[in-house]
Amino acid sequence: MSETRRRVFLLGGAAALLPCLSIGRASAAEQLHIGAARGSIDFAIGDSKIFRTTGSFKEWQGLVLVDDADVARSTVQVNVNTNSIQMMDTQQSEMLKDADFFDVAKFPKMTYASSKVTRTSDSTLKVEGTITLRGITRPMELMVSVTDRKPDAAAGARYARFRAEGTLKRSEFGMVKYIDVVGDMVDFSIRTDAWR
Amino acid sequence: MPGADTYTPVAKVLHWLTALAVLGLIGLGLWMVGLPIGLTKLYAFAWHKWIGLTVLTLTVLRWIWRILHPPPVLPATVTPWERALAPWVHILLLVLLLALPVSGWLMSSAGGVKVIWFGYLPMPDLVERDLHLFETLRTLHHWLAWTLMGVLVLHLGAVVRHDLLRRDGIFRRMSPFTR
Repeated sequence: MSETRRRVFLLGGAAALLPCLSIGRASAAEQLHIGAARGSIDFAIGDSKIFRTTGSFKEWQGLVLVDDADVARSTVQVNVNTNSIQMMDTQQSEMLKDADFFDVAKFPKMTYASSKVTRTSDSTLKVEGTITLRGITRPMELMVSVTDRKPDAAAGARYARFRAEGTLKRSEFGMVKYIDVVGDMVDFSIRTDAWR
Repeated sequence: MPGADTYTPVAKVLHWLTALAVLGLIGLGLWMVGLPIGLTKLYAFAWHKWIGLTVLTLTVLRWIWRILHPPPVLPATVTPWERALAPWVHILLLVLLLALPVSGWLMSSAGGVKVIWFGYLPMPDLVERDLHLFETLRTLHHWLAWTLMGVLVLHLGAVVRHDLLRRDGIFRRMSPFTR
């Protein structure tokens, strides 16, 4: 979750950076908002032999600082409320909140912080950073695509729309219950607007 | 060659495989919904979905076979109202045997759970993840299942009525032990 938020921040930052660079603005960092109000964080446990199950986080927010002069200096930070996890039904959601999984009572937040943003094409970015989940911090990379950029967007209006994809192993965060049956790899998909 | 008063061997095999699968699905379905969450429940749901998709396949084959090979003519002892009702009950059963697995498949897709048939064949998601739709489909699947159980009671009641009370040979048409 933390990784996801971080990815979202990174993506948002990248999205913002691209338009700024393309028009050659000389200003310093610009702050953009991302979050559940205009976006979603979904995940899927991807390598199960039985089935592939999905969930989402309903409460999260982030900030993107866009550096006009140097895309690589842009940053993203995301905070996810782990208690907002939503699975297919209440029984599954409650299971993922308990100590074997997200342990939301002890670790109510999952965070992501970018360390590097690299442009990979006119509309795509690679965001590197770290995700902190259950008190464990691991690197996480997000591949971001940016669409619908509006560099001249007014305050409160959408600046860009982006989608990020990334993967982590839940075992690296101590979540190993049912791993042989349900799987270890977790795919994240983040879709969000970044707004001024 | 089967006699004109019995179903073809293929129709019989499809019928009895379906009967076994449906009985298993009903038992599994009634049991698994009350289980606490865990591996037993996970496997129970997985097998319910796998067997359900198998019933869907069998039922499609049965429809095709039934169109190509119409059922045997009913004996003269069957009353006019029974003669009029019988094909509609059979069609209702076949419709339910299509609707139940399809609603279950839709339900799984809407719940965000992709089905991998017997752990080997990933099935396409029929709809996007939508938890409101999932709840609606869960209710639909529940009532379709109870409707099927009701119609099956009528179906078995008819067998008892014909074969044990009247002994008019209706069951013999589908019996796996007659030709």
